[in-house]
Amino acid sequence: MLTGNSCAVSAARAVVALGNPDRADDGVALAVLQGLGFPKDVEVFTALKTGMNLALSLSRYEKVLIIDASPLLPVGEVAVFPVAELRDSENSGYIHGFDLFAAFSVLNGAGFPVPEVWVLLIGVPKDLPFRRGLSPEVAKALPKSQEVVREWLAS
Amino acid sequence: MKKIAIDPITRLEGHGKILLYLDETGKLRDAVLQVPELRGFEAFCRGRRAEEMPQITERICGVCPEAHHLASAKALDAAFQAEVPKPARLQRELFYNAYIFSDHLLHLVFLGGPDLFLWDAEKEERNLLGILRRFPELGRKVVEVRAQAQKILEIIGGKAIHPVFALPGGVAKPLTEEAPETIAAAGKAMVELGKTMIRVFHEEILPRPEFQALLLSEEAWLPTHYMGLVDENLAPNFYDGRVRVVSASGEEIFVLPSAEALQRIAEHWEPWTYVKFPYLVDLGWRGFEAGPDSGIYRVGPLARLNVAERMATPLAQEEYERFLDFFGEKPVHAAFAYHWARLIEMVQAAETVAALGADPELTGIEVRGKLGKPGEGVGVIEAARGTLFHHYVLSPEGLVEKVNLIVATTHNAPGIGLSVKQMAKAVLEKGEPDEILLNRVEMAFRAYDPCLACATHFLPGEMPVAVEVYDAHGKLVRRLGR
Repeated sequence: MLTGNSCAVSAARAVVALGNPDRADDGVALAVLQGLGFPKDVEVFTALKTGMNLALSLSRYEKVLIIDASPLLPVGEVAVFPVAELRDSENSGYIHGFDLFAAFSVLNGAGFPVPEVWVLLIGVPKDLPFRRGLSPEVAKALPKSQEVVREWLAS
Repeated sequence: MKKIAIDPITRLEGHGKILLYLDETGKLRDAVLQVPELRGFEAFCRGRRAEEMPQITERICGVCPEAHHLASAKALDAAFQAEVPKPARLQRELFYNAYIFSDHLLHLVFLGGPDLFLWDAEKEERNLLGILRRFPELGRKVVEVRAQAQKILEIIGGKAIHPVFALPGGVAKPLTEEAPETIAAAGKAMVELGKTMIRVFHEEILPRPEFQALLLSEEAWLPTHYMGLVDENLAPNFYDGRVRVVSASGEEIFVLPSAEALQRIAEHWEPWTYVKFPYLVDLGWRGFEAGPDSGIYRVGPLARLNVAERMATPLAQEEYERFLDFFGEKPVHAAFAYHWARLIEMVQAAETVAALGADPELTGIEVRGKLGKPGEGVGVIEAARGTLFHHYVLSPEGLVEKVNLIVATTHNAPGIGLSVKQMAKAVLEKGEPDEILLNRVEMAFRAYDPCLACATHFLPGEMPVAVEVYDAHGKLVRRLGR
């Protein structure tokens, strides 16, 4: 697992919703956030894609939950696991890339603090047209996904 | 005919491939870069309020949202005939140079870095962590200074990830009185890192015979025309200016404002791909061939240096002169010179940030110009990878009627294909193994830093690549991968 360094991080947590709300089900992570309340020590980010900028922004947190769409999971299926398992899996289906793992590796290698990262994936169709709104199949996964977020927040 | 597909798999924005077409004898017949098309995007935008476009278009691309955001805002400035007040213009330009610096730095050190810094490393070591192990101090400094540059994006753009601040005619709000202090510190650190990078380049990279051989190699020498934005002194300007095009032999073909320049570009279609291949109308489309008669041109760092007569800042100018001395002629046609050009531009961006950060008008409160009636507008900007056009037609009610974007990698698609072709041809003729073929093709591809999202910011040595060989009937005969 990508675990946090013990030094120089705050106790705060972050939740990151990845995806493009203009590309139909790709925006499912943002939909998961809607209707959820977050404690004061939790910051919420939205982003289209992972990468060094996001990693730098997250490096000050102790724990991070990334919510994302995955075209390789069955549509509407929900899965949650530490990001390291994603890395080890050949067909992880992590739609917005491994860059965040690599970016954290760079930060870690350069001596910067790195959070403990968990990933919540929601299965979406492979074809993601330019359109706003979720398909009914993906929308059905929202309650379960929100429950996962609540459990993570309570843990 | 056989087809080899080098196919970076996964990722959201689409599916980029390099297709190598072999003839019956195994020789390379053609090479093509397929970039993901934005099918449905225009229809999606039609009927939306014009003011939404800077936010919608920045979500097209996870790699350079800053470029789309400002190109869109500039297109709307033009469509609404709005004058952008100086404080707003300074904010935009400062923000944009911080983005160029960050993007080039990331590419130089971490994305293209293994090609530059780890020539002699074993395959397992040719990656980001390999760079950090060999250059720990530099790696740490790069991360630190990049975080400072990101802070500038956050101060001006409101947030570091997908910042949104530009509006038609200006920006959302004035900067605080405290902002210049943080910006000045970041600018100073960026310039210092630029100096360090130049020193490292001249001490660790350029003296290597293998690198010089690659820079000067015939298979990486591609004589095309070039396009880029220049200021009134014909120095590169990333945010604004006129579009200048020079020929493969260095003569000016045109220098024009964005809307007129767009009229001098046409797009060629092929039946086997949705991708459009831009070319210069003045010369016409003559197929996938480089040279003085071809309409194919290139954009990006090397192109910008080729269309310019000088750099805009002193340290960048010094390095530009060393660059020209090395090659001994201009335009420089070496595909691998893109890396060096990127370094020079990174230094110009750092110096520009330092200069703009000290401008007393930066914190001025007049940040929004008056808007006229909605009409038609073209916005052009230099994205890190090259010239980016946004062209909108608005209805009298201010709704979007027509959208056309020409992105950097689309401009470069014919050139990348030609570079890959030359590189692959040389490797195939020598009968080198597939691993060498892959490495060389990837290097040629990576030099352009193409923005496919699925292929751009892959990590060297870690890019998921599948190579598929098809026979003349389209049957898969072998598959290679990492």
